Amino acid sequence: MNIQINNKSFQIFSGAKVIDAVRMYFTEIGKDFEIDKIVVEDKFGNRLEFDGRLRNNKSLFIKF
Amino acid sequence: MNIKKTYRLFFSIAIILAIFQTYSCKPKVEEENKKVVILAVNDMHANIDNFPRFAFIVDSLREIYPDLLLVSAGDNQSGNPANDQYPQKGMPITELMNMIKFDVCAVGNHEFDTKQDGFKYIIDNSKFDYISANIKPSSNLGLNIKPFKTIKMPNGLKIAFTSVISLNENGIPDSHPNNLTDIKFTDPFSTAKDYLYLKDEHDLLIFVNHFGFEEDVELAEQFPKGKVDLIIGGHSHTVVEKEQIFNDILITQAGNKLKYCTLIELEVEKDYSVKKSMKLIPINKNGEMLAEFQEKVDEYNDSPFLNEKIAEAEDDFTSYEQVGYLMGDALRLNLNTDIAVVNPGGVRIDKLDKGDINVRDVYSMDPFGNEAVIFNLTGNEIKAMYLSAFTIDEYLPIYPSGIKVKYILKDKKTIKDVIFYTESGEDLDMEKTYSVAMNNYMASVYNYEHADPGTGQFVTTAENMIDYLKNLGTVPSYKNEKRVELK
Repeated sequence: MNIQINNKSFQIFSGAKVIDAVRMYFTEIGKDFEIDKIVVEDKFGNRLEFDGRLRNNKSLFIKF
Repeated sequence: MNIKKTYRLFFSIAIILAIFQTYSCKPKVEEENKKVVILAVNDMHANIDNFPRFAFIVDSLREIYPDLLLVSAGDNQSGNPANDQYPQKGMPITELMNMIKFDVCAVGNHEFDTKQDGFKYIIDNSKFDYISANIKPSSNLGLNIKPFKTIKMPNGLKIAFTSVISLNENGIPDSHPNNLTDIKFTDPFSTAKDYLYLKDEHDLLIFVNHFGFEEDVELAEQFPKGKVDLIIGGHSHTVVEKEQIFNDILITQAGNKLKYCTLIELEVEKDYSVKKSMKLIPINKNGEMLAEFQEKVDEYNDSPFLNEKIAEAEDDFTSYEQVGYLMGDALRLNLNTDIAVVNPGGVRIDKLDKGDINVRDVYSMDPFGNEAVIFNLTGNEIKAMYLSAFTIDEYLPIYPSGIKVKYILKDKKTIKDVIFYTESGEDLDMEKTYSVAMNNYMASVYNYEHADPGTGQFVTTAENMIDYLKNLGTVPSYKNEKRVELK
């Protein structure tokens, strides 16, 4: 499925969770991350738990 | 009044004051206005360890609101072996929900993890109703899922609760298709509209959805104004801290795993307009607990079934490699793929004694809660994956099943080439496409070109292993297994 992370498009496996998207994002930008130091939000500014399931065309905003 | 009751009363008053602070300028509540107070949770995922603290909060609030309604937006199940591997799967969280007296529960996708007969058992032994308007099980399954539920409050308010569940691109909830046979699912958006008539017969219409927050917003915006008062949400594990109102509909969600609950107040005024407010309440790890619930949770956690034998190992396992091969075989053979791969970091023990293997052993081997994902990859794509993985896996080899692999190294940290063979030692056809099972960690961190984005199997690799071992019975020796060569 297709998702947007920080306004960048990614293709990820169906059934993926927020944590999978986070890992993919940090792999793409070539940085390590500490899970306690990042926050993931939806387009409404609500915080997302890391094991929330993603849907096609979902937008995530990772703050670190 | 004893000290504990006093504490509970102060706690409850603090919550109420927090809700009412936004209404300090509003007119005094008149007798004709009628209120309902609801405490909502979602996606508890069998976190029974936090239930005693949640129970304390419920008990405290009931001191102030004796008619408090308790609602779950689904996914009570899956996430804790003490619950998921219980002899009657799923009953620990269900029994706790019965004890605290839930009123109504939406069906979440993980309710189907116990399979059709397991879910039937749970429904039949729940003292609350399961609701969903877009799930249509065949009558032969005996799944008593109601499309809606009416609750008449002591103050006369008549409330309708209904629900829709999210469907994925295959038109089913996120669960293994085998768990969903003989069950039809209708489009949640159109089905939801079929139940708007309930508002004409009730004072309040509340959706308790397992749909995702953004989808709840989309749904809310499609409803005619004034028909729906509240959407209590789940599935996306969204932490809704501030009031979110769309098309005059309050939409809530309380994260997951009983880390939060949402206290919601709906007040129906004389002109039938509805005032809405919510407060997200954290369920802190250091919070006060109800002792009777803690005793029950301790029983579940100490249950002997976690130590019961599920298979027997013919020989000792004496290395991460041997355990990794077993984990790979469990993936490949149970999920019926051509190949499986296990990352070295995903194998947490290098020793498993000959003899009985139990559920606890599996979770010590594979404790991360990773889920299985299947890709269709060509031999060349598999090679690209291996090349990508080497640095990420700190220069340790991947443990394969269904193939053999030779790493040709320039030095300890640099691969020159990777060569693949079939199990019988022939060269692997690199142009051919193979089904490859792996965990979701590998699926998301390995960065390589591949056409198929992959398909999640909605089963953890640990649960898959338990299933595999139960079917296998006797685990052969892996002492002489050599599938990886580093040259």
